[in-house]
Amino acid sequence: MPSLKETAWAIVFITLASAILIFAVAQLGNSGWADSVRADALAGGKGGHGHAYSETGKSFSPLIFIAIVAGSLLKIVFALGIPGLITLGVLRFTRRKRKRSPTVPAEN
Amino acid sequence: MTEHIASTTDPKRIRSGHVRAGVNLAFFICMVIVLAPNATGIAVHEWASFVIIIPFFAHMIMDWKWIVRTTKRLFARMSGERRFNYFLDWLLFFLFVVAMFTGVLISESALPAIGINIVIDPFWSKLHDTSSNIMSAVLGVHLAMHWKWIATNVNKYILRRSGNSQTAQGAS
Repeated sequence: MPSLKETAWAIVFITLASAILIFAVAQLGNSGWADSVRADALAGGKGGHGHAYSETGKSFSPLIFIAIVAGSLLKIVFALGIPGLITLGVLRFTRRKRKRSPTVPAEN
Repeated sequence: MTEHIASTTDPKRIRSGHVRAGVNLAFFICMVIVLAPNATGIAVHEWASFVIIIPFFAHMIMDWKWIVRTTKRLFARMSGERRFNYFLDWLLFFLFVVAMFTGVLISESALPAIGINIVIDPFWSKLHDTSSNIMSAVLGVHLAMHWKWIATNVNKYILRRSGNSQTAQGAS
């Protein structure tokens, strides 16, 4: 477990890195790209999310609700699972290739 | 990331392993909740996104030594896998921060609940959707890169399968 000093430094660094990143991303809001996205959204008649969950006043039947929940979870399974499986396949291939290779770079 | 736990008879190591597994499990559960706004609803999505900051920080603090060690040796001799892991983690950090920041800027439930009403900007909304979708994919790669650690610790701490305790190693 990290010491208190290490933890404090970690928190400071992570917060600082996040702040710098946020400042950089915030500048994008004034960019031409942002203006074009806003113009496209206005032209398309969209404002805000447009997600199903933000629509108020609509009640769904239990079946549709289950379908929405299942669909949402399936989306996570595919979004995480497919890149994950591809990565596992690539790792397996590279590790097998490295085992056969005479020169192996030192780990750690 | 290679972290060798020489012996799990050391109570400190056992506690550390428990804590690490618990933190990472909590982080994963929070992440699943946050990534499924259609299932949970916008309010849960937004509040969970604030709560997830805690395991996010804890996850990085617990691996801080690895981060520092790898950064110092970035231009030294290092395995390709470790270098890839390092840059992947930076990408994940970037996407996470962007998704969080843009999510705050388009808050429809959490911030209005505390009196901060925001006009939804379609640019931040699009950036939020894009960054979170890419983050899901990168997270999948991240989990696959640390699969050995995940499988070992799920078996050890969640399924409580007693095996060779000395094989409970850190993430690769």
